[in-house]
Amino acid sequence: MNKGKLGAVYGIVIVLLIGMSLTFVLSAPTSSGGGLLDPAGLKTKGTIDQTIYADAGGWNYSHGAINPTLYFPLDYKICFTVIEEDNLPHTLTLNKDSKYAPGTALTTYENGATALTLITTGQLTQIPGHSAKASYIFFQPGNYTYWCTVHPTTMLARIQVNGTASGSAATSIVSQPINQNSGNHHSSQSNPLISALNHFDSSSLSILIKTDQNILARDLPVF
Amino acid sequence: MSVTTTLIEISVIMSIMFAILFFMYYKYLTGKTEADVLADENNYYDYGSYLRENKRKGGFLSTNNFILNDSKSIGMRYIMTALTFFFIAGSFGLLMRVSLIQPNPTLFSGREVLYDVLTTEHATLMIYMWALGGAMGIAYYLLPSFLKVKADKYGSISSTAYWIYLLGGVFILLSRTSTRWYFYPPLALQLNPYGAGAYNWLAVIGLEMIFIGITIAAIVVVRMIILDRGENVPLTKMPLFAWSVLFTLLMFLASAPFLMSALVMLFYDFFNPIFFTGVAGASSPLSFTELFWIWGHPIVYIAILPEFGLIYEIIPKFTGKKIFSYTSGVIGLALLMPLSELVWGHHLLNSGFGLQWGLFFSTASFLVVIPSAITIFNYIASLWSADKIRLSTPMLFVVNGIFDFIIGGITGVMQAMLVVNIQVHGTYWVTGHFHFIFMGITTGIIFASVYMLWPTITRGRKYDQHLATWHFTLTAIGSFVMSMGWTVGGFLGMPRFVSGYFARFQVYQDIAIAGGVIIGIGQLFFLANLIKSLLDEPSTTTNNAFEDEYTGDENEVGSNEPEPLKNPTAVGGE
Amino acid sequence: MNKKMKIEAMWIIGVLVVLAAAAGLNVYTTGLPAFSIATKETSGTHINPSNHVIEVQGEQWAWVFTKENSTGIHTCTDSLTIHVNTTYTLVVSSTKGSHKLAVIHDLYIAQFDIQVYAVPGQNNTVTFTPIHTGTFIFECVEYCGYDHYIMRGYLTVVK
Repeated sequence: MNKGKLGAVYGIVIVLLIGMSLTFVLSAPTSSGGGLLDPAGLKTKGTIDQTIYADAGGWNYSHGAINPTLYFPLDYKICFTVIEEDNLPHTLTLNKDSKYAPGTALTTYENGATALTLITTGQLTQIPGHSAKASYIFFQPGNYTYWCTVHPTTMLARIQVNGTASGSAATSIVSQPINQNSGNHHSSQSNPLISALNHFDSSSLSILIKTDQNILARDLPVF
Repeated sequence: MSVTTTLIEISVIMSIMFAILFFMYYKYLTGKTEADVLADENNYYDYGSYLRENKRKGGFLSTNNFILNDSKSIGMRYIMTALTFFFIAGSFGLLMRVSLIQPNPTLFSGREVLYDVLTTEHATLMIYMWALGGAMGIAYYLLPSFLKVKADKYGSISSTAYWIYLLGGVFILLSRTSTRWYFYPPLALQLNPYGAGAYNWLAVIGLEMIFIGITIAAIVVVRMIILDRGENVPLTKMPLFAWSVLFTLLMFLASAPFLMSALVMLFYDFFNPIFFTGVAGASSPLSFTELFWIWGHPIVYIAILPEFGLIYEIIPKFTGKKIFSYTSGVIGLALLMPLSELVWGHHLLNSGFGLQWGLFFSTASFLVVIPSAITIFNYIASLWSADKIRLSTPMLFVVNGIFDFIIGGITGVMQAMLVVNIQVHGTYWVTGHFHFIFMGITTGIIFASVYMLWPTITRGRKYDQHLATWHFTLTAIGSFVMSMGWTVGGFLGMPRFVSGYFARFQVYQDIAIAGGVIIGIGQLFFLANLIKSLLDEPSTTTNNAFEDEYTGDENEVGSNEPEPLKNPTAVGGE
Repeated sequence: MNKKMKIEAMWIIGVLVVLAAAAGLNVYTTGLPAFSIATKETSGTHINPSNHVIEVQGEQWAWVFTKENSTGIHTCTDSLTIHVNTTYTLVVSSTKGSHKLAVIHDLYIAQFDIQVYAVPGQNNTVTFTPIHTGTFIFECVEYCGYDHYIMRGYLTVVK
């Protein structure tokens, strides 16, 4: 009885088991990739509907101000409805804006690993009038950008999430713009961080993480 | 289709299934009865050992292992399970390591929680299925021969325990939990991808089942050691491996109830959160961490103590001399048992329990050095006083294990100091420290034992020495590079368990990735060796070097100098 | 003296040498400037009123630093700027943020040798005095969920 073939069987079984386990574990539910997952157990204060029109000329191209800055309160579930206005493919993509500086025009966005595409080209039909929905909850106050990855030069605008005023915000969309200098009584000290940051080697700066928005964007209070 | 038709179809299918099951059971019972009669006629006390020795059945991959209930078959089951889970959990470890190649998440960007899932599964499966399961398997396999056990009466209980244990491990794998192997509660109670994963409750059940299984098995093995020893094996001359298993299992039985009760409380919290929620009125979440570490520190000794015993068994085979000091070996192993129960607080030095707490546990941790040093110096003295050491693969693993344990042990003592602990707690230093020990001692010595048992588990084949040497070399180099990269980076503040990190730590992460990939390649050589051996024709007896000494009918065990290996080529010697 | 005795004597001497070296190293490193870049004391109740008290709240997944002084309440998320040669007391705890439960975090400032758990319902304090200016890193080193790895930032010490 030659059971030597068991060796090959064992090898195949091990490889199969490894493959199955990896496939299984890597298909664990996450918040993106397979569409936005509503985080269970999160308390939202309410739902806010926000409709935007997708046009290659710019967001809301034929509906008032082009590329409007959206203001959202913290902890609300924002339901985006994207209505197509032309027969071109679009996406709705969000990311934090770590290079935000008040009073400057928005020219670039943070692409890459951290961006979250709420509405993909596949969800849109390139038929004017068609709409797609997706929702997102902003956990952290701060500055975000939203854009279309197909037309990032024209369809690019800001979102500001107001952390401090979230308690008093009603269910209306637009709250007050964030006063970037609120609570800062040390503005006379200019920004000591810039000089301090010069001590960093350039490789550290080149991969600035999400948290760095605080250093670069705002005049921080010195405790 | 009407309801009646469906019901009829279901009942017909069920009847056929029951008929098949009954037929299988009938065949099994007939075969078992025949084997029982044969074994009885040939003066074997159980049919499993009769089948193995006369019919050449019961090798590593034989399905008989899963049907027969004798200790040897159960040992083979555990070893095979442990190896399988080692490859699964190892691939998890490799994948998550590769995903850290850049400071920002690359492989799992936007899905960073997959990194946490992989890490949790890697840690939990490696500890409970590989370290614990491998040790249980080798204990089940070797102890009946070592102790000349007269009657092996608890096979069915052991078998039940094994199946509970295996199902627990599978549940943990299926749960895809991302809670770390700590299960720290307010996070473990968040049953969503943002917290511990939606099926964390399944992991809690799985862990509880692993505990139930191993507890039953531990009681059986402790009974075997204490009550079922052969007439001519006195307790004071028991092989050191039997001592180490006895101490390990007593340690397990003494500390497991704490986490078992904590897990029950945690499971209740899923439905009615009253215990560890951290809200006003409930207990502090730190009470769970205390319960966890009362178990969690002994487990790390449980993962190395049986391997310490195995080293005591392996060294004499390759030096041709007895171990340097039997008594100090037993004392060293025995002291680890009470001391391991005293030091668990050093995992919580920064939690705000106060300076006095820290001083006590920091000092107690230093005491653990004494038994560890006794053991290690015993090995070194055994090697030193030997006239000749034959460095074949198992012995190479032993030497590398001693080397790695010294580094891992010293880093472990350093991090128990209060001021150093603040600097290195929660960093990769700790990861490097325990990977030195787990790769050197736990993994290395289980592999050394597998190489020693090779002719038995492959039913009479020798391993390929070339592939085995490659396996050893890559494992040793890879684990050293990986752990050293972590240790150095961790001392500079590189945090553990993160899917992204500051760019200044990239060099240490990349070194560790290189080491991890080397380890992963090395394990492929092991797999290739196993497959190659099994494809060859049998070329030697199924005796293994471990049991050579104990197969004869001497009056006393361990009284005379060990003989040279009867079958040296089987373990790669000469 | 037979061979065994000789080896045992060498063990004992070797262990004593290693222990003495470890003790010396310990004493030496605690006195090094690198380790005295900040002095601190851990205490459950006592906070010197002249210290600047900064409340640190860990939430999923950000560190929120709050300080109250005569000019009002200042809040910073994931970054902290402090003055050199001033004694600060961090009161570290954990809040639930927008989640249902608060979880355990662990504030770790590597170059300051400061590490303190943020436990829900418990205020852990740590007092320190920065004596060098520069930018340092801080991190969360207790796994706290999905975005655990971004709970980090820069601590800047200015004149």
